[in-house]
Amino acid sequence: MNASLFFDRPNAPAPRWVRVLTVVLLAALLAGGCSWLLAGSISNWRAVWSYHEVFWQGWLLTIRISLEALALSSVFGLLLALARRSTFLLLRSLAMLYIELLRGSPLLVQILFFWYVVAAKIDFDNLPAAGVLILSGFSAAYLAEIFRSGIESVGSSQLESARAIGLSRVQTYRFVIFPQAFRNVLPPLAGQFASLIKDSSLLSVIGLSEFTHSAQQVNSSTYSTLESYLPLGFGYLLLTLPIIALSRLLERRFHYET
Amino acid sequence: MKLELRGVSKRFGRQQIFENLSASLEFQHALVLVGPSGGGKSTLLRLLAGLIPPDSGTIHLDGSPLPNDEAALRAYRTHLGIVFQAYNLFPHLSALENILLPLTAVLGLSRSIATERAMSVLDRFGLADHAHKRPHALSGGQLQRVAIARAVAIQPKLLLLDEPTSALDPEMTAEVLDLLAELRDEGRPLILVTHEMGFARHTADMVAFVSGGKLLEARAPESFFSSPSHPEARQFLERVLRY
Ligand SMILES: Nc1ncnc2c1ncn2[C@@H]1O[C@H](COP(=O)(O)OP(=O)(O)O)[C@@H](O)[C@H]1O
Ligand SMILES: [Mg+2]
Repeated sequence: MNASLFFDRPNAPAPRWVRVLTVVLLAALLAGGCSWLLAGSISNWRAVWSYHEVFWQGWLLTIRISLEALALSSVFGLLLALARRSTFLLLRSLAMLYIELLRGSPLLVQILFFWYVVAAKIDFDNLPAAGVLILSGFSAAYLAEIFRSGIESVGSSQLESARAIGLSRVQTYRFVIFPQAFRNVLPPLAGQFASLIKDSSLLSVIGLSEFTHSAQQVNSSTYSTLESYLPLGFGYLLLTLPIIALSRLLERRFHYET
Repeated sequence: MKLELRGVSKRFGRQQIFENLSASLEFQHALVLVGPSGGGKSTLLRLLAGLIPPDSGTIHLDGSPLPNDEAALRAYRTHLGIVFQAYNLFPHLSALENILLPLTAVLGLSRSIATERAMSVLDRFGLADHAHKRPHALSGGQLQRVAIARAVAIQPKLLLLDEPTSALDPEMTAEVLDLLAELRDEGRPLILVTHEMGFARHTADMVAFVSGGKLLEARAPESFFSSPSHPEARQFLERVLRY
């Protein structure tokens, strides 16, 4: 077979049957990989299945933590982005310092530090709440930069137009900046939300019984690594892929030329 | 209308644009600012619009000084219709929504009254069929006419226009100039920066020549165009009228 068949160029798109073939090949690759991994593991699956309630509870907690952190970090990230643009120097510098410190250090280190050092010091012992707060604080730093670039993508001539027609600062944000910034930040926003869900797995290190932690528990009770971790991967994909699909949908819906 | 500049100075960084500029200009309907590019026409218009504050000095319109705090300036701008050089419509809003925004958000008109007013202006400008198009779907001339419609719809006391035709081809330029001539005939006062000398000559009742941050000459158009008194104005006219 000639490999050049698989080229797909704007001026010479691949024929339909080549596209179908590509999908079939990828499916075969995936199936091959799975059957190699899964060979002779039926009995282990039975053992793991008896723990499905643990998986389920962990998955639900991951969803809960992610949703809470998603909401909290969106609000916090937006406030940070506005602070980052403030004309009040102290506020702007503080926001900048926060953003750079949190983006510059590993999440794992932040989790260990805030739980074992800060939370311990102030006697804060609500583990799920701490998890949400740490994750939100981390994600907000990234969201702030995403929001800021979205806000700044609205050109200065439009801002002057807004002033010329008499809009106040708040009105300018509401009617001119946010509607346009929203469209511009959708793709990176969806990416960041997907990251947040994945990053929540790191909270397992402080013993929060979310999805990853649950899988580790099942693994240590059943000694069946593959059967514990394969559902884990699927469980995360089940959450992240729809977000990415939704963002593509919205992107198309809000698309207009500038 | 009477426009007075009293000792107005403005600098951008280290560049002094206006230094202690004083002038008194009286005009009935249309004041046209002409002059070489970089001379300060746009800056002067922005000062008049209260979009940038002078470093010192005051500007008086019909005897009352422009306010100097942003809240009062915003109120002042709601009585002005401002149209810039570049297209200044919001790309995410349709032509109609662009016109509605100042009417509803700034003047506080109800949506139905605002829509009625906006549609009547669009209708008059021959733009009714384009009311629901976004800016990217409009031609340059249509864009600029929508921008003027937005400025006119607020029923301003004064229209400020900065080279509204500079980005347009001749046919579209004529489209926009026709509209401006019509507005002038209605008696709506306007201050216009333009390089369209023929139009200035026909429409203005006062022409001011701005160059190097100075207002070198201000006269009725007939005498300005036939016998400019300042040598720089004469040079400028020779250059732009040569072809
Ligand atoms: N926002 C600004 N920042 C710095 N310099 C500016 C700004 N606006 C205008 N200038 C400068 O001021 C001078 C006058 O500009 P402008 O008023 O736009 O002239 P004109 O409209 O007559 O061409 C130019 O030298 C220009 O570079
Ligand atoms: Mg200019």
